[in-house]
Amino acid sequence: MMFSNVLKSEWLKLKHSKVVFIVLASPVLATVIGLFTTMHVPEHQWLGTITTMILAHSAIFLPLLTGVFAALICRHEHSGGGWKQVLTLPVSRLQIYFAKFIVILFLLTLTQTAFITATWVAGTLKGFSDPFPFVNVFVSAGVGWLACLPLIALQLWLATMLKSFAGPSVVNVMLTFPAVVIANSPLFGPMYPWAHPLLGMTQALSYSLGGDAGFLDSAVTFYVVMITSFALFTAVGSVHFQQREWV
Amino acid sequence: MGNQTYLLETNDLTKTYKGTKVVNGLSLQLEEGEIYGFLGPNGAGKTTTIRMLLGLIKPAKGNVTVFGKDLTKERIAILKQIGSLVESPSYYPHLTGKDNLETLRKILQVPKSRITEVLEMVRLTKMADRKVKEYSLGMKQRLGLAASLLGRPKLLILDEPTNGLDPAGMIEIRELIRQLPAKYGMTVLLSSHLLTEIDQVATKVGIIAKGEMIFQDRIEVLREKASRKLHVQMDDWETGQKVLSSHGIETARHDNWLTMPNQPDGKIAEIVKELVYSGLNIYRVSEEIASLEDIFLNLTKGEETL
Ligand SMILES: Nc1ncnc2c1ncn2[C@@H]1O[C@H](COP(=O)(O)OP(=O)(O)OP(=O)(O)O)[C@@H](O)[C@H]1O
Ligand SMILES: [Mg+2]
Repeated sequence: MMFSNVLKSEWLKLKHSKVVFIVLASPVLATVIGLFTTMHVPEHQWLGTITTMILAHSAIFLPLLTGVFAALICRHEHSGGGWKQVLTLPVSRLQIYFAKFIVILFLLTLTQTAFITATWVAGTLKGFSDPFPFVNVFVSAGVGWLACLPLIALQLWLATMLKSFAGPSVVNVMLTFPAVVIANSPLFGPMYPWAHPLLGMTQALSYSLGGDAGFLDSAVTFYVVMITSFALFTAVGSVHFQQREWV
Repeated sequence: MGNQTYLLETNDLTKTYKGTKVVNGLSLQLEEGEIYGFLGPNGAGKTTTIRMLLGLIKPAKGNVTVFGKDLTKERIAILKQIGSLVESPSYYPHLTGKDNLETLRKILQVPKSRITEVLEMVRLTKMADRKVKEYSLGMKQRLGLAASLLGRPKLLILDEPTNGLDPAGMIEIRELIRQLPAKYGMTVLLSSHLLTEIDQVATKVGIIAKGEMIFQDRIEVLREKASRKLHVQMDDWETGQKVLSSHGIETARHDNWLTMPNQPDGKIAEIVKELVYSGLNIYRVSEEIASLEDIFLNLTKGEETL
């Protein structure tokens, strides 16, 4: 009851914030890339296009988006002095923190949904006649969503802790670019959260198609790292948010 | 703790920054229905104290009791009945004034009509549907005040609420604050670095300097401390001085003004009569009223806080 009110309040703050452009940016770009790709897999009409789009979306944009969403959701509290107002409302600090978390998750859900739609649009525009492999793309988008959780927890922690929008974003960008290279390492890929969206989405697509063409050699390491880093960043971020002094 | 229960009470409240006690052993008592003027020069520790009262920062020592509850244990229950404005107003620039209040209303769960009400109280109705980034500083301040009133709080904590307002706005907001206890049963704590700001509204005054409370009592007590003076301007001050000293009143002179300690009404009438009977022309008789400010300055004198 109370928590849903906090959520509604957070949601209202996104009004006029043009967040919709950020949500749609990556799916739209992926569509363009999907339309022009020449990658073709003989046995599967859709696979080449979808794989290209997944690579574009998950290697760079998805990790960056986690940082952008987190920064966006805290931006006005930092600039307009909103923290002291929000934190003197009769709700616990954890409720505020997790309301922001859930709004980010919701935005990510919108992006992944838009991405699924984008793959269908690209294939349809290219005149593919085989049925759209919805389940496979859906599973890939879902695992990609899960793979973003540790990054979101980390970025929300940084975004609430640091006043500046630029600082965490620059760090995020710098850690995102090596992700493509690190993802190719069977040893280090699963240990590197910024490689997780890429690993998760490609692996889930290939696995759901009955193959194993992803980059993921050690699924166990991948899931262990994902869950522990998610738990760790969430715990540290929320405890810090609750304990810190608000001046 | 005495036998009296206060609406808000602090005990030995202390805050340390980098080894310096910026708030030191503060005991502050606020009774229901009061307007408490929390006065102190820049850097005295007003905002730091207010942040502790609201649970935004933790005291190094001491405790805060509000509505008879311990702030560390029942923060949320206490905050339910507090409205506040700390330092500068908080706002979302991309939202309208109305939507800014709506983000708070969703959590405070008051009827929508309350937004219209508080906007009216601070006279911001015309700007309600404009984005706050288009607001002037004074308008943002009014929005902050509206936000603090939104939840119909029992206790209102305002840190320099007339910051950024023009003189007319200051008077208007002061008038609004003055009416709050009688009209809505609110109790107000109001900080300022200007005595004149709270002189006309406060019923009780607490003066803080270098983190320590150096005076806390009803404002009348502070006024009594003021040594008022009476100034009389006349043509022949030498005769005037002789006449007055024959009545046992010692005077100081500045140009053709004679200055003496303030007198009761009857005595003043007598003095003027005597001076006129002695053939003097009296030009002006005036009472010095800036002396409350002098007291404040004297109390906080030598406290180089910055
Ligand atoms: N976060 C902080 N870190 C270190 N010192 C601080 C911090 N906040 C306040 N201070 C110091 O504490 C002292 C009291 O500051 P405070 O803001 O409470 O003063 P104030 O009475 O509100 O002054 P003003 O009238 O200027 O608003 C100042 O010396 C200030 O430098
Ligand atoms: Mg201050």
